[in-house]
Amino acid sequence: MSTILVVEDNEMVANAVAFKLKREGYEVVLALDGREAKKELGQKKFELIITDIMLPYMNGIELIEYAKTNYPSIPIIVLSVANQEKMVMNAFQLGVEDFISKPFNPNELILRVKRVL
Amino acid sequence: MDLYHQLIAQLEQFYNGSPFYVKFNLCASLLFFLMIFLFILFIVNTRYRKSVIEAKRKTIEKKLSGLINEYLFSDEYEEQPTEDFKNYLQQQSLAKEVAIEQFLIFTENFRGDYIERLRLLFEKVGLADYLFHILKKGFWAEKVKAVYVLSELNIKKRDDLIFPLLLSDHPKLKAHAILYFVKTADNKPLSFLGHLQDDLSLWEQIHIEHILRYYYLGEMPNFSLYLKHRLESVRIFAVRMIRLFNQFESTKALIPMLNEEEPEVKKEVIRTLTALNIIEALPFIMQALKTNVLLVQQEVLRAITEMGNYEMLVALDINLNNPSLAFAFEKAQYQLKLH
Repeated sequence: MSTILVVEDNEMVANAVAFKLKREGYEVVLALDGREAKKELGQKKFELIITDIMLPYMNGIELIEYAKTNYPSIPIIVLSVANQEKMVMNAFQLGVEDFISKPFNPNELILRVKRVL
Repeated sequence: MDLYHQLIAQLEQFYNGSPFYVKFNLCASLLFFLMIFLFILFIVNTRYRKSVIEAKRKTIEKKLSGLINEYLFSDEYEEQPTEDFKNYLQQQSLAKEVAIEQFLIFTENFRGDYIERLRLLFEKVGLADYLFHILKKGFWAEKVKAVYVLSELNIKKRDDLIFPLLLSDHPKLKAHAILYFVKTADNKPLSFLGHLQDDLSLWEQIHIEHILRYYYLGEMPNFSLYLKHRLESVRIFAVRMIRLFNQFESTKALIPMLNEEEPEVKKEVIRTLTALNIIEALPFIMQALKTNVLLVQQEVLRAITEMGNYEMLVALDINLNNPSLAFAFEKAQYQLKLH
């Protein structure tokens, strides 16, 4: 069973994503900001990170940069609004595996997760 | 007890024996300390209330989150939790506010058939009825919020409650009613114009254009259908939209409008025909020069500059007594000579 780190500042959306992923058989750990995600990465082994870009304390780009430097084998899917074009470009330059724009369809998210894992 | 009475008696004696300025200072100091104490009490009370509300919010969010997740993603969904949550919402107004807020967040984040399911759940837990109740009896600012939520969730069951808001004196309420009708329309997003009784302000016209461009998802309406509207501002708006959305097929309907009595409409028609470069309309436009209104005459000269030639301009039978018109004529002459 793969463990996925979901980083999303809106708790309700984070819970919904986690609920859907758990129903598909994944183990999910939630982090509500970049700092919390960094801490989780140090404590547990993850097979995938799903992250928003606009996050408090440490934004998604900083988190991706950190994860790609320290945990290069973990694939990353960005789940964010597409109007932050510059940030999306930055994320791809840093080597993220996929990008899903909000509003999103949870079924599509599952398909992309399966493809990446 | 005796000691206490003794102390009070001593203090009374001291106070009575003191001069006026000492008495005044004592009273002022006591008052000051009392105010400080009340202020601190107020801050502590506010913080306490805030933390209580925050804790309640968390509880409501947790309950709602569980319900929505079960409803959207679970195959073993049961009706009872929805009924329970509906009853829970009816008991607390804070719960309704928080739930509406969270439904909006879900709608912003999800798409596909999940939106339809969220809408159904919103109705099932009685929040749609709550908004309809506000539309019937609420304060205008509450109505603004209610209309906004209904438009965001695309709930269009009670248009009859929103039509009267188009006639509201509150610009925000009217603007939100317009947003609702355009945004929730599958087609004919401007059919609400038939219910208007007062002219549209320029701001409202810009607002409708903005919603049509960025929120309305259906096919763009045929604006020529509104060229004969009884309100002048709606006719002007329709002419402008024909220009801004390049509806060339409507230009034939525009030419008879050059006989309009209202100069603002006539000016807008000429501007649109010019912008769309309808050269065959130029002879009709030139006839509008007979109108003795500067606004229209200036627009005709601009049309000749854009679509005509120098010979046409100098052949015009025009009285140049008005300095502004004379200036516009000279400007047109200069521009045509340059070409």
